[in-house]
This record gives sequence, C-alpha cells and structure tokens, in this order.
Amino acid sequence: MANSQAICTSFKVELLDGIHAFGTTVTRGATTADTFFGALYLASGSLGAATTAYSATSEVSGTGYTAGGQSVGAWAAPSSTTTIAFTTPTGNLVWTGLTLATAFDTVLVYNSSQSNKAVAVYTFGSQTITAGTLTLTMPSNAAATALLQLA
Amino acid sequence: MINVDLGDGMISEMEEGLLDGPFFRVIDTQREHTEVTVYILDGKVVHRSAHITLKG
Repeated sequence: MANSQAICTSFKVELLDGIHAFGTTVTRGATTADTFFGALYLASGSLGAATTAYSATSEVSGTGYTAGGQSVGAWAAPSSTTTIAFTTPTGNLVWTGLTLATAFDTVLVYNSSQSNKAVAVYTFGSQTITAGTLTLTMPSNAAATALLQLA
Repeated sequence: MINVDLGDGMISEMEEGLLDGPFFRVIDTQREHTEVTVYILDGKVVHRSAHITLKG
C-alpha cells in the first residue's frame, strides 16, 4: 500500500454543499471559519483521494506527537485568479521535541468542526524524526502555489 | 545544546561539540523542498530534524 497526494473527492462535493468554510463570508448560521487540523501518517498508509475523514489508522505515534495532529490555524481569505480558487494556512505546522521512529510521508488536513471530514492529503519524502523538530512550511498563497487550489 | 535520543526513547540534551555533525541534506522536487539536519554519536543518529516546504 502507499499514500498518494490528492484533494479528496468527497471534499470537493462537500464544498458544493457548503460544508467547509475557510473564510468568514458564509451563509450558514455561524460566521466563524471552521477549525482544521493536520495529522501525520506512516509511509505504509493508504491515504489518498478516497480518504473521507480523519482516522487513527496508520497515523504516526511517538514522543511529542498528539493523536489527531495539531491545528493548522487561520487560512488566508479564499481568493481566485482566472479560474483557480485558492487558500493557504497563514502559519506553519511545527512539532518540537519530536521522535517519530517509523517512516512517515503524509499530512492529512481535515475539518475538525465538521466531523473531522478530510480536506486534502499532502505527501513528501519519507522521513523519521529523532529528538528533533518537524516543520511543515506552507507555500506562498498564489493561484499556482497555494496549498489548496481548486481549478 | 542539542536535543538527542540516545536510544532509550527519552529526549535529553548534549553539547553540540560532543556530537558528529551537523550533517545536512536538501531535497527539492515538484512536491516539496526539504532540509534535513542530523547529528551522530558513536555511529548512531541521535538527532534528526526535518523542515519540509509543502507544495500544493
């Protein structure tokens, strides 16, 4: 099995149903943005486009890591350029004092305000961390580079 | 001082001068830009940090 990077198909449909809110211009009763988390997964996992929600299956474990990951924080106000809508977290994901001895290569971004529904799977080169820091730095927020782009 | 795991699962600190390193590795692909820092003691990795820039 292997992980594959993808915007989750269920997330795209849920967007059309108005389920996910990255900004504050919403038509739901609440006007606050949802809370999104980033959780890390083992290289032996099988996350991808078919992932629908956060699961502890294949999630990493170790010193300095809390199950479920950590909050992504605020997102840039959703915007668009030509036909591409996009947004990116304004801060990075950082774990310190971390030891993850089993190889991991994936971060799942999910919506903890909406039953932990999956947003997207991002893969990178397989890593381990030993008594160190893991920093997932976000890309610049533009149509061609944003973390979340909808073409 | 560098955080290290000496193999007992516990994180402690050691003087950087007592360790071999730091050793750096940079990976740059379409998916990511990653920088890895490693310290070694007696042939074993006792510290490994990674800074990964995600690409959408």
